[in-house]
Amino acid sequence: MLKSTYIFFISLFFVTTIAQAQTSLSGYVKDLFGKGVEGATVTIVGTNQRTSTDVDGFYKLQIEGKQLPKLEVTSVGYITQSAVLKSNETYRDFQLKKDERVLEVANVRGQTDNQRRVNEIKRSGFNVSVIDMNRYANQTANVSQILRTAPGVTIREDGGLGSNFVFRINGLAAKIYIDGVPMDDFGPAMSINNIPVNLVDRVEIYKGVVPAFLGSDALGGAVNIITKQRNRHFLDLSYSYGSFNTHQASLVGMYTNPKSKLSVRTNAFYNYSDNDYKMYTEEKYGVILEKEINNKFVKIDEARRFKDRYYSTMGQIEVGLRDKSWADQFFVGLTYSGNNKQNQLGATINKPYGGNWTESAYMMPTLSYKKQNFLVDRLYADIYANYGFEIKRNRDTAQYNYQWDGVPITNTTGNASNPEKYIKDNINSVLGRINLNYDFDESRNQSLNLNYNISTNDRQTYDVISDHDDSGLPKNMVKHIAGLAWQSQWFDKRLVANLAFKYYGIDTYQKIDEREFDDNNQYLSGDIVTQTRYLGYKGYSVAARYRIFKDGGVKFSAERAYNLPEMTAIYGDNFNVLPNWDLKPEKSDNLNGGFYYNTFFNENHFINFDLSGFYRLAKDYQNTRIVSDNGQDKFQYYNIPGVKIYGGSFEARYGYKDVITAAINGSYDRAIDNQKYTDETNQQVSLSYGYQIPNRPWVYGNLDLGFAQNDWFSKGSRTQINWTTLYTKWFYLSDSHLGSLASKNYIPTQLVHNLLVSYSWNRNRYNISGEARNIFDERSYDNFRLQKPGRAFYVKFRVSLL
Amino acid sequence: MKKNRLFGFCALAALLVSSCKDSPNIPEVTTPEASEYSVWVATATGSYLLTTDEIMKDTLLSPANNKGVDITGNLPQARYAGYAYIFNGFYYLSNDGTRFSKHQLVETPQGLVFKEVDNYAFPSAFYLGKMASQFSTTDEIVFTSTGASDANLEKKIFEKDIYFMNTKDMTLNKTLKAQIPTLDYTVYKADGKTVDPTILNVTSMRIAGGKAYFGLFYYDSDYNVVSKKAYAYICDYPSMANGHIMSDDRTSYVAGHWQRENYSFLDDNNNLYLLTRGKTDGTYAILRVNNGQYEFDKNYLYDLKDYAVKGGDLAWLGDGKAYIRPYVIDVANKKIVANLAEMTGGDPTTTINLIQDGNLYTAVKTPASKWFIYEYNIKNNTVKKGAEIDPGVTQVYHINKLK
Repeated sequence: MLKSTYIFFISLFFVTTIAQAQTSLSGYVKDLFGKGVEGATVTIVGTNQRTSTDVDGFYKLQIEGKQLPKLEVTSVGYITQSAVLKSNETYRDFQLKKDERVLEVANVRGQTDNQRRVNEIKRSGFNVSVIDMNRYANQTANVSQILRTAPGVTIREDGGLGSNFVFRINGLAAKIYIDGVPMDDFGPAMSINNIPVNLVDRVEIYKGVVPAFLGSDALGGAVNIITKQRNRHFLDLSYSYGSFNTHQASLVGMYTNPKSKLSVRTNAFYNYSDNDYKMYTEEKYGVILEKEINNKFVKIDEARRFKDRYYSTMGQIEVGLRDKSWADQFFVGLTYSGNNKQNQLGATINKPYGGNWTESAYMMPTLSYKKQNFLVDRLYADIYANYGFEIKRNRDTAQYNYQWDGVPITNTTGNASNPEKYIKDNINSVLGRINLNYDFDESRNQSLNLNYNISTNDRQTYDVISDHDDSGLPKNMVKHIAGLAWQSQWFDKRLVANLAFKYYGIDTYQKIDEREFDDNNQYLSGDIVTQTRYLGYKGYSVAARYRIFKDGGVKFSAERAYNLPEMTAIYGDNFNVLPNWDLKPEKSDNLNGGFYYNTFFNENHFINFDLSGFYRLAKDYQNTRIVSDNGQDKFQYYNIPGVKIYGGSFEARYGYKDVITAAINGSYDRAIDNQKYTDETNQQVSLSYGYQIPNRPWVYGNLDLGFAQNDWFSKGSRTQINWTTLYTKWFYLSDSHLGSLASKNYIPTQLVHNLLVSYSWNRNRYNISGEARNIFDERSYDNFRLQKPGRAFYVKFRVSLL
Repeated sequence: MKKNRLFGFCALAALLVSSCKDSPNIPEVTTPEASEYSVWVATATGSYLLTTDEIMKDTLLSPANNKGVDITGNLPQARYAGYAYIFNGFYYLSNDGTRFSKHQLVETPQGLVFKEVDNYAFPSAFYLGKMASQFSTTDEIVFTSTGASDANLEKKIFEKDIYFMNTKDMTLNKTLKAQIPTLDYTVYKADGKTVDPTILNVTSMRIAGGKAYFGLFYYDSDYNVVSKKAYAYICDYPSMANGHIMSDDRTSYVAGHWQRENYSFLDDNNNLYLLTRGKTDGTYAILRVNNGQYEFDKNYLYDLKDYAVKGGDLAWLGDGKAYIRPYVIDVANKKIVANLAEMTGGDPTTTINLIQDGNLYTAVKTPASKWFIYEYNIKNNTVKKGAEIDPGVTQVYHINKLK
């Protein structure tokens, strides 16, 4: 109720605001491929009236007088265009052609923050892909579904909406950030598995070396999810409904008072799914579903998942000021998120649970400050802090074991029931981050970047059923990551290089009760022992890009980096992940190289080709294994002493105007167990040495075909059809060379096809789309044979008000 | 024209991707004949059965080069081997807490596979506990579950089930319930006020001479032992009546685990011997309950404080001898007869031992981190080295006779 009231008032506020500005002239400035041109200047010829387009290429101007004005649009890198407005015309779109005489869009003053960042990313030495999420705004997808289509990215999941996942780039652990803040700091309801695409502007995928400003301890790379932020008013509302009773709603909005510069921005989403998709017995893959008849498990062909419902909700509001002398942006915010997830399966498909769920509520106040020319000219400051408080409950109320037809097994023998479980965690976290960037000159040929992140996480646990108070045994972790980077441009910007030094520190703390008591509970001996551990590491990296010719060049990066264990990896989650206090940070020496080529021909065609390769030598590689805990299969993180990973990926893209897009990519990453001896002293060679690490995808790829047409059925409409195919080659679940091939389990090759049809009208103000996922109902598995959803259909309605 | 090319390219790409096989190529092999023995080993990430006809032959048993049978998929956690019982060529597993399943090595054109042939569905968490192996026939096996029992506070008892399973069709012939009394005093939590719901685990179970014996381990919600006395329960069998708790403070609490390993044995006269922790931390001792008695024998205490006892599955070897890893002991005279660690020059580690034809078979890990199967001749008190097991394995759980 509270949520809907909140949405209503926010919507009313924005709609009213927008209605008041309807006399103005507005439109989009796009390139031939339909992409918004940011920073283009739109001028009413003969007047001083002008404005700049935003990241979407959107502009808005007030028309004074009754004469028909002439508009002129200019943008560096594009041919200037002009047009005389017709009578009563309140909107006009422009499509700009590239100016072939300009070698590269220059990095000039006056660019918006967003444009500056995009250009910096493109020109930097980092191996980075930028996904424009506005392209996917009409899909029901969440961020992970888009991310997994990028080359080199693997996302291991264990089910449907809201399921747990493991995210890797080029085979190594990668960190996820939302607007530069680690995603873990947003509570469990914020995950790439449930953030709707509508909330996101773009996603930056860094492979290999990660820029210092992210303050990352990632090895394989990092993903930075940039949420939608605009200087103008806007409101984006969407709702989708689909298979498995899945509902997803999102709201993004922003309002800035032109005079006071007071800004309000908000994000919210709601996800719900029963996740009751069909599971199938596939004996050849070792997947057998059963029901119980007379205390005997009998195979059944299919069953629906049950008691696997998931819902999550998030609301975020930030209030602040923009464009003040003392701050470009200053915002205070409050985020609330909550989720409730039934857990039907543990780490394997063997045993369905009937009464297991996790719920959490999370509250986080935030403070952010950004300022260009901070204290001195050309010094940019970005300061951020948050405090999070979470209450998390893990419960299991099933008295008896369940079977795949959703009912408990008959208790014909008078067996004692399973004990109820109710574990409650109180978690406090604090994050502080400061990022300073100093440009030595206006052209940004030489820059220094200093970044420091500190995060603390403190957890107290209570066993509610036994009234057992573990809170006297808190668990605490503090991480420090500091980075100093020097970015430079040479040879007329043909060479861009980035040299960085990083320091990683992890401080862990736990208490263990080692007291002993006699029969009458009188204290005998022992104490509550405090274990503390501080580990500090130094890392360094170099990343460079050299433009060999106009449209192409090479990239190279190398680093020594560390991946510090997460809170869950060391202390467990009191549900599905067991603790491992001995888990060590993962170290990796990485080499990355690549070649890129982007070109246009005949103005209307665009080709992009990227080829990259990598080599990683990891020590104490963090992996998960299945461990038994009181009768349940659970995950536990552990270190593989040595792993060598190498591979590569390619991506080819083609575009014809804003009509056709086609992309294909493929990735190969091979992780080899590089720990030679099981016993160093006796030099006994490990059975796995030199062989591929099992249970991980190693060949995968994607195909994406799109066709779009404007002005079908009505002027200002756009019809779009997209076909995507995801491919994963089979892989063994255990060492491929151990045991006869006939006795080995494997995840089969998977080819999942999706189709999207969308129609937007009134210049993208309204949109309706239909999506068919996994059209051919392919058996899709991951992580120890956990089956993912089969064929599913979704419809989505979206309103985007500017 | 260009559009046609583009579509052609896309179609070709889709075709290439679609044409990939969905599974690895598994060639046909010469079907091996059923072997005499299997050795259950684990690596860092998997579990394997290595089959052989000759465990005493100078050969190397290894899962490498796609030998042996991969049972990792049936056994996500290697140490689940501790909940397995192998009899008459069948493997009885309880590896996911719900089912008690009967597996067999089955020949296929592609090689041996480990296949479930029958099962029994337990309504609540079930893991195989102690076996009454002397009752095992081709038709029936007798066992308990590991389940830590919560007390019935009204009746002041813990109930421990003994299952009699028809192995022909995996149905329960009957269930007997031992009703083991709770402690006769209340255990409080650290605050001194809250009652701690004490939990019981049975670390051994033996049945003989019309009696059933259980070693008892009482612990609190912090997993600490609540009393440093040795407790055992005796009752009539099969009526399960006339139950009696006995305790002894000459040693500390009973040793053991809720898994398959039995921490007691019966001699030829059906006297019960129970392994307990010693009075000194980290040491062990043995107590005796004479046949027909309801209390520990006050005249018998074998203090093993000077020996590096490793525990594990205790076994009566006959000829007055028993095996408590790594020692063979003369039970009546309280003497060490053999130290297999010294005799083999390694560490005998097998969880469940194979005893046949007057010999004990165990896997030994040498200081050079190599694995060998050793045969200990009970009568002659000698050892003999047999097959080598790949030094890359991390644990050898069972040596089993299949035929």
